[in-house]
Amino acid sequence: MVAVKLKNIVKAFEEVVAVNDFSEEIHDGEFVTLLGPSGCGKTTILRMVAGFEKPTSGEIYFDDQLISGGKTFLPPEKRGISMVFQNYAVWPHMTVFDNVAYPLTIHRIPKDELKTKAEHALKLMHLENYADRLPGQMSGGQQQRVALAGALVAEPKLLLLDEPLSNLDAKLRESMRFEIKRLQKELGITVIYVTHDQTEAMAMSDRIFVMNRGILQQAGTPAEIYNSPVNPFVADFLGKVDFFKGEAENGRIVLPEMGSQTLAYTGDKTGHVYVAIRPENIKLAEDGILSGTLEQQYYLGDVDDCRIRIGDALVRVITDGYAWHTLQEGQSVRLNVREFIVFEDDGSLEEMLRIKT
Amino acid sequence: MTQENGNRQTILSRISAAAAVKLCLAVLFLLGVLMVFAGFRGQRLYDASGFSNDSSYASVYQLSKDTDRIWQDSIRPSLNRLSEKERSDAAAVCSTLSQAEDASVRTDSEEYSYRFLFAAYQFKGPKLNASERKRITNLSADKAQQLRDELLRCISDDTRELPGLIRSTAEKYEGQDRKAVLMQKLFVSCSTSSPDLSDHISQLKKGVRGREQQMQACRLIASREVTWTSQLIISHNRTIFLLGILMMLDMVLMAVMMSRSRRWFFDIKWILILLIIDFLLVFQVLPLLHIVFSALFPEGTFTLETLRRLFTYPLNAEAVGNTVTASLATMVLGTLIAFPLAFLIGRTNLYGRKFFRSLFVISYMVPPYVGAMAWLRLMNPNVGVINLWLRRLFALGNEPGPLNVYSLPGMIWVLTTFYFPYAFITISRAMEKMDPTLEDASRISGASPLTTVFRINLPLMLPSLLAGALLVFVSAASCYGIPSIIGKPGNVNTITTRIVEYTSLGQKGMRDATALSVFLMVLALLILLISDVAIARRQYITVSGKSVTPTVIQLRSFRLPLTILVSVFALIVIGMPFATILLTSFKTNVGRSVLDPGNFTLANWTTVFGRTETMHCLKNSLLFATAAATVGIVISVVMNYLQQRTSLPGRSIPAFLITLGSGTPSVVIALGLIMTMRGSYGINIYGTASIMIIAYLIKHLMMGMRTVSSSMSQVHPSLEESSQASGASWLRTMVRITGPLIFPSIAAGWFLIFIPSFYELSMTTLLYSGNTKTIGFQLYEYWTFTSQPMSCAMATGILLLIAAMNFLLAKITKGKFSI
Repeated sequence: MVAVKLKNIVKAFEEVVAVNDFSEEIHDGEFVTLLGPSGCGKTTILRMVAGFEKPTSGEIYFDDQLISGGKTFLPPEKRGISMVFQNYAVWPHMTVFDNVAYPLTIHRIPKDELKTKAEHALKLMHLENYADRLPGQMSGGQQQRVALAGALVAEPKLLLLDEPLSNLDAKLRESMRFEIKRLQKELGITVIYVTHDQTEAMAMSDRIFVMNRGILQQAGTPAEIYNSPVNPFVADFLGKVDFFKGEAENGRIVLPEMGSQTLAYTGDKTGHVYVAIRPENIKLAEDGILSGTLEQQYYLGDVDDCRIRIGDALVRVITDGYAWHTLQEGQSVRLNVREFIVFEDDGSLEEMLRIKT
Repeated sequence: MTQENGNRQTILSRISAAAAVKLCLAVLFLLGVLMVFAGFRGQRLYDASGFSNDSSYASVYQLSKDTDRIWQDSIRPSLNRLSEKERSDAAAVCSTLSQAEDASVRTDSEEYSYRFLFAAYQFKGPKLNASERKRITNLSADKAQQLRDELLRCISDDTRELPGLIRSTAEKYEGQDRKAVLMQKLFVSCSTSSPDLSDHISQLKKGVRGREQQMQACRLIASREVTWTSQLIISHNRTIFLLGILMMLDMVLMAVMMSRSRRWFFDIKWILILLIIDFLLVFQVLPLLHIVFSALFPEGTFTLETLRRLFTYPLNAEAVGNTVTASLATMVLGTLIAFPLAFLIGRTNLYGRKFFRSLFVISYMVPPYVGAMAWLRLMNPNVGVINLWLRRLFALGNEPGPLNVYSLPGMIWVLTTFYFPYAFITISRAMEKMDPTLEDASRISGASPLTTVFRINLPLMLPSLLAGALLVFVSAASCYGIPSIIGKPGNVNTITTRIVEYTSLGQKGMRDATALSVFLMVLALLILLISDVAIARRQYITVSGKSVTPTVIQLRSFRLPLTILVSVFALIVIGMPFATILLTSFKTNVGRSVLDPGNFTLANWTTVFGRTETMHCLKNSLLFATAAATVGIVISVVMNYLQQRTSLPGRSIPAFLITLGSGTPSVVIALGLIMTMRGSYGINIYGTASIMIIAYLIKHLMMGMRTVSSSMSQVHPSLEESSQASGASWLRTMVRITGPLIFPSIAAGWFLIFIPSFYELSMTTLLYSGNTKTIGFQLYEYWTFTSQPMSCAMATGILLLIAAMNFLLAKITKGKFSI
């Protein structure tokens, strides 16, 4: 299929810099997700790859062919890609069949071949019974499948998906997620996926590019990003996390907010640090090294979401739902921290966590 | 136990209240039915009487009351003072005289005979000379009584010496005639106390023409058959019939509303809706139905002959042909201009897009006749500015031409320059509403921008495109200003100009006027139906989830040439006409340049605006437009509130009627009002300011409705609910929350009714009277009969006023609205 290379991409809308010096390569057949809060520049990157926006500077290559940069700018229709939009963008005046077959008619595919291909695409999305309907008579999920079928029918080298699931309800979203992933694997196409939903990104992607304020924060596999975030923003944006001030010294970290209790630390950071702890990585244990008081607990069935006071700090702990039967609010507990991440304290934490741009 | 009791009581009282309301509705409904029947019966009685004026019965009733009083107060006392013999002799004379007047008169009753004779002598009878009459009427009451006694004796006894006072005339007659004169004198002496008698008589004389009718009236007066109710149902039969129908309709509607909402009580909101419906029924639906009926039943019986005359009578056929041709051509031409223009201005990086946009939208607010005047100056075959240029440019010599505005193509051109903005606005709006990702999706599927336009944009916008085109068609077909100024001198008649012409002929032209009106109205309403129902249903709702600004299409090397093209077009269509009007208003000699020495003058302006008549017309226009706009905006706000904030059944009926009214061609509305509002339905407002205001209101109310509606629908009810939840009363919520939020649209709606009413011409032409001339009509008269430069000065004045209004509107609404 195709590899996409973005080199020093900058996009400015008048005064606002939407994307700042973005360089990354998307490999052939890879599923890459651009993840970030709204306004982080992820959609802008996608639209530049599609050809709807022209980068202010920088180059875009498909394999080794320059498609945007310098004087070269290939319009969208010449790029041989497909795209699915957040609001489906199915044409209301055409039937489902005509919608799906549209790219084929543009490429002047012979009639019977067109019919076979369109019907195949419809079948792929379980739409074969809806071919003669108008989109206005269909549900959001069905319309989204029409859009996907239309995107796949032209057998694109590259498929761009702009928050395609955000208008669907939770159940449908989950099933569509796996459907898309399955299709991508089956067809082996390169996919660039844009979303602000971290679960979606984790579930589907080979690699995730986390963006904030037009700047690429981290690129890596879901596990890398989740477990080894390069900065507090990434840690905070994916999953739940609490930050605590600490002092790293001699193989341990003292936590002043927690009554100067300590955690064992083997890393190389010293001095003022931030310790980021994910709630699922703290475990209640008889022999735990931290001690505190159970202040509140929220029973959610599968898990028990607890707030535990350790010194001045309130720590969130997500534990097995069964624990709810044994715990009492106000009770003293001991805790073990299974895993934590340490960031140097350069005073930028609050600024970094302020998600809105 | 007590609580249960209380519950039962409230339930009982509720049931009985509902029952009372139902009963009340039923009674009022029956009253309506009764009125309809009464109206029918009155009509039949009137038809049977052969009187030529249905108010005759009112006069008959009045006279029968007067006669009664005269009999009671004067004649009977005198008769009682006579001896038995004298009395019976007098009675015999009286009955003989009565039978001499009319052989069928009953003679058995003394009173009847006297009364009949009294009434008959009011119409006819031996004349008294004026001085004698005066002498009798000047008598004191006592003397008059003595005179009456004496007269009665003289009547019964031929040989008796006549009193000196009345001798002179009577002496000239013999026998029956002498008796008749004496009787006449008797009645004159009786009626001295009743000065309005002669008024009733002269009133009655208008309705009873011919001997037979007069005698019939006298018999009715004498017999006292005509009661208060019967004279009411006869002389007001149409009013009663109309009121009855309204009453029935209202009650049925009210019952339907109440049963739908299961709330059986009189709500002020329902009454408001009914009042507005009734108003529209009387002043809009009735006139239109009247036109249709008088076209189909011209002499009371059904015939298609009137409509057939549309095609068989050459003048009508020509008008129909011209209108259809001109409107079709204008539609096609206007849409062909509007679509690319809307696309260039809406979606590309053309220079000065915003400027062009407001330029083309503003021309929407210019009176059509002003454009016509300008084009007439530009393309007059002999002295038109463009023709002079062309002749010089191509050395064509001094022959007239090459362009002639006084022709069908000339009219089509002017109609197009005036009406293409209608399509432009509709198409622009649709273009703005279209979800740009639909285009993106097409591009990414491999379609070029041009393919996308043809395969995505055009089909998606087809409904709006059609709606815009049809709007142009209807507006061009209903236009009067342009054909009257351009078509008429060139002998290119259209339906509207013909209707006005026929109407000015009075009764003679009515038949053809109604036929043309029916044709035009059906055409317009049919198109309204097509574009509102058929097309609106196919309108694709393509509102995007994210607010994505449409991608601006780069014109690259075409940017400058296309901008120049649009500029030249704007210059031709807007710049040149306005410049012509402005320059002409300063000219002494129309044929020469304004820069020629001595040709520049301010005299046109000072003369026109110095005349009291102009000022009077201007005052009228301002007054009528203000009244129409104020009433209209109140109705708009009330109706929109009821429509959007309540779930009352029937709340959308007024909106429907209002849409219908605005879709009806102006000339037809005016003709309908003329035919129905001259008293034949009990309402006589012909020639008054009211009829003008009502006409403006019916035509332009829609503007207010639409403006208020769109902004009210944007105020989510939760805003009001949260205010009320904070403890604010309904009124406070209206004043503090809803009011301020919709105020800009109220102001805009007011102006949108005001401006077209202010310069209105087509309805005014038919409805004006000496006192109610408006500035638009005055301008038309100046143009046709007085001086072109002066009317150009007046036109510039009107345009300046509209511009000032627009500026004011933008200020008031803080730039949210301007036209």
